[in-house]
Amino acid sequence: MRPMKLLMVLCLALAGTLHAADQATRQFLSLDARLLAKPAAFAKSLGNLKKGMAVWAQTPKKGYVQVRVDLGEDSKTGYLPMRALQRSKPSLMASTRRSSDASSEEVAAATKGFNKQIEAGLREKDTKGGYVKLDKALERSAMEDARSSTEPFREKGKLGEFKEGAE
Amino acid sequence: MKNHLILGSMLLLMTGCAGMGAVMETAGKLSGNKSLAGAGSGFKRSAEVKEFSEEEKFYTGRTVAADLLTGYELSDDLALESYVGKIGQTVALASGKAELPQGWHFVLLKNQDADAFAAPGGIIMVSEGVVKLCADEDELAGVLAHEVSHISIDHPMQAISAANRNAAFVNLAKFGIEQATKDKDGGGALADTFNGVVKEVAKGVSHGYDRAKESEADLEAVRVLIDLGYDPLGLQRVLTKLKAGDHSHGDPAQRAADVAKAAAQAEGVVETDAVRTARFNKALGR
Repeated sequence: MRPMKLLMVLCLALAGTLHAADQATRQFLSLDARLLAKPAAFAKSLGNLKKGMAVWAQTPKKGYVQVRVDLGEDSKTGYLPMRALQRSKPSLMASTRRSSDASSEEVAAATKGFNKQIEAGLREKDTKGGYVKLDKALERSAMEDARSSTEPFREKGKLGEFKEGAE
Repeated sequence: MKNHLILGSMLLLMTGCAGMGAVMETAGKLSGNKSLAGAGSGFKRSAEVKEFSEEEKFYTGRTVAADLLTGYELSDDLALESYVGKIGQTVALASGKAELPQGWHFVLLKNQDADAFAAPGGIIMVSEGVVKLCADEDELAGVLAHEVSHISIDHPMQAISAANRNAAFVNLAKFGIEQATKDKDGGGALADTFNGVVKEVAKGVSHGYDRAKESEADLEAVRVLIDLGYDPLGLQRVLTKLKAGDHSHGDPAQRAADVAKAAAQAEGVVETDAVRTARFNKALGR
């Protein structure tokens, strides 16, 4: 075989090997998410990732994607739920804001007022007691730190990190 | 020179291959992120202004739930409500919105009809009737996973028409909170818009969604149930118990078949666990 042909064959073989080993695509976080040690909802958290961060994503499996996050000279590998990723970079307020846009502070202020002020007005007109029932219902259904509070429940029921076959 | 060109082409091929690969389901596809039509008045908005915040959804949900509760009584069975809450919180933790600013709430209603509602912001209400319709914990988890999925996919807020969304955001962002809430009735333009929003959301919450959204919530529920270790066929079994009734929300028999099909195609499916069934029976005094 001529040297050039041999080189071509070797390169093609190497390309195939690389392709099979690393099908990573550049994706972006569509929301804040925890980087998980395993592809499971209750797996140990390796850290929090912010919306808009870029990751290298492998082929999804069972709703989770193995990703690599480059953090300067360091990198971390873990899992994210499929729905936490998207191909295009999500728009962020700081990068898309124009002078005529509402600022994040204005929007936040408006949101707070929209809620509490309007509800206060509605409460005054609530003659059927809907808000009284709601207050009672939300008070008794509140659960602080649901993840820790339900851990014994998950363990006894073999759920989440305690399910059969979970590593 | 010729050799260099060939080698360069091959390197290009290699890097091109490395960049190809997984076809991802984008988050936006399920999150309900929809762009708005023009706001009018020459007012320009950034993308984030087009979306309701989680806090805003919660307060919308509070109003919807308060209105709904005028027609229902809260259950007196606090132990059963606590049990329902534990299943619900567990399911919610595996959902697309594991953590909400105001937390998830699972409320048990006294009525004996099979009712379940999911209000924005994570307020889930189920009747004693629907709990008693279930034969075991995995079936009840199926019901709760379906309701949680409506919220994690954002179905209630998707029910708000573009007109009301536009009006809300324009009023809020353009006029500011002081002016938007100030008029002789103390409500202002914002109150009118909010009432319109609440009516639209309440319709979806209390009457259910179209068959596409119900199906979408079913399939997301299957994913969550499998992820947790619940038998996804629990949802299928409950669906077969529902009356065919109003097919605008999807024929329950067809939905049950679709759930069974999705479960059959999935990996890691487990069966109903005896310990879970025992604690379910205990909670219901069976």
